[in-house]
Amino acid sequence: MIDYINNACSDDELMLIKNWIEESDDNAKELFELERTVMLAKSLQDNTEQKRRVAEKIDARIALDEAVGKAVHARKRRLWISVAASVAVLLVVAGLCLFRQPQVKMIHVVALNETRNVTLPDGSEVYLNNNSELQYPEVFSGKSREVKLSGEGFFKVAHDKNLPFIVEGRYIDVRVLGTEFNFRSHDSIDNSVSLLKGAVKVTLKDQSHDVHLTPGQKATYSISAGTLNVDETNASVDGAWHDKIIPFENANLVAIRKKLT
Amino acid sequence: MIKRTDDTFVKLYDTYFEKLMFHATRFVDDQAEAEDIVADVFYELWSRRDEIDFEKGIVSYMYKAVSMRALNVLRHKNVAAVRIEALEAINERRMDFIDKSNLEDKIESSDIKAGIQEAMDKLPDKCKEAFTLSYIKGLKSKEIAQIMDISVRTVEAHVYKALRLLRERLQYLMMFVLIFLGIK
Repeated sequence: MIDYINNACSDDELMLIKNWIEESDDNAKELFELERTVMLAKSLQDNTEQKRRVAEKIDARIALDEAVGKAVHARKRRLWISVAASVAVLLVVAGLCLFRQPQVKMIHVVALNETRNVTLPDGSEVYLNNNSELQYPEVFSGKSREVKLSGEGFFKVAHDKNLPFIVEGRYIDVRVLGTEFNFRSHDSIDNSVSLLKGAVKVTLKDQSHDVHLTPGQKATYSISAGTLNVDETNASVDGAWHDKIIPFENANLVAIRKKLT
Repeated sequence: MIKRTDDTFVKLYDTYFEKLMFHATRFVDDQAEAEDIVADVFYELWSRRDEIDFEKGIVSYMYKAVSMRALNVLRHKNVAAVRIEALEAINERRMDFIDKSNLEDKIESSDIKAGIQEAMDKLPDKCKEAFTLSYIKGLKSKEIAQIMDISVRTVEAHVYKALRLLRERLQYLMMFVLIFLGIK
């Protein structure tokens, strides 16, 4: 019975349980009361991460609807996002301060006809290729380190197993713990992620598909096909351009500060 | 039809998230799958909010929606028909139980949770350990037996004892709160 409640029992054991509860109402009552007890015991665990993740999945589905033209009003989407944010507010009020404050100062770095090195608040390094942009918050807070990339960047992420590092691109997102990888995130040419060290997970923005990379692999997103493929690659060649950059000191970095509206 | 605001959704989500997630795991054992099922149900709720009555039977609707989707997932995965039938039959009974005991929705769940936490802390050591390993960490009896260096039988006895103690405590708490509510 114990294994049943954990949903770890075999088909035969399941039949036994079914027959048992059909024997008498008391048996059924006992089983379901035990289930409820377990549910409450489990609910004592912190589930805010999962709750937020599912809220985001819901949001993604609505967004996808929109993209496919089903949603009539963009209003619908904004309403749900505000719902997800309200969930966040409710949880904050409950004393679980796990979400970023809405007004975080974002730093916006643009590399025009040059390559540029950026050091992030956690010590991670990002090398930006020509015509690329990086957006990141002044301080990493909350449950993850999130940055946005447009163009091409070579990443050397500082290892922090408690704070996953997420790079949001145009069509795909890359989630890492601490590694070195090259990420091409463009509007109209195929995007790719090449991994040198560590491990990353590459996800389509609509969350419908993801792949895990090991060193020496490259994930390519085809814009025309909308698919994500993995191949072997010489990742250090893919990222070789970054060695040409002489790292600037933080003080020399020209940054445009934007506040989130 | 009741007028619903965005607030309604947040409240529904907030209140029933855990229960629906647990319900999904009555069918599928993968957390990610369970999450997708619950997400789909809330998404559908959102898409059809002009058609659905949010007062009458919304809870029942959500449970049924999760049940149906979960069973479909299992069918898609070609899980044995015997298993699916058994799960369906057990679930029918479960729905009856939930319908009958919907009083608990009116009870402030944080009181209950505090009570359960307290009861868990008071469990005898071995019981508590076995219970935590089983339901909180999700380990199987065999694995727990290895970790605790006792027989599988003993593990099950400990867990079962913990469950009964907690259930008794829960019944007591609920009765207490109901009496309290009755006075109001």
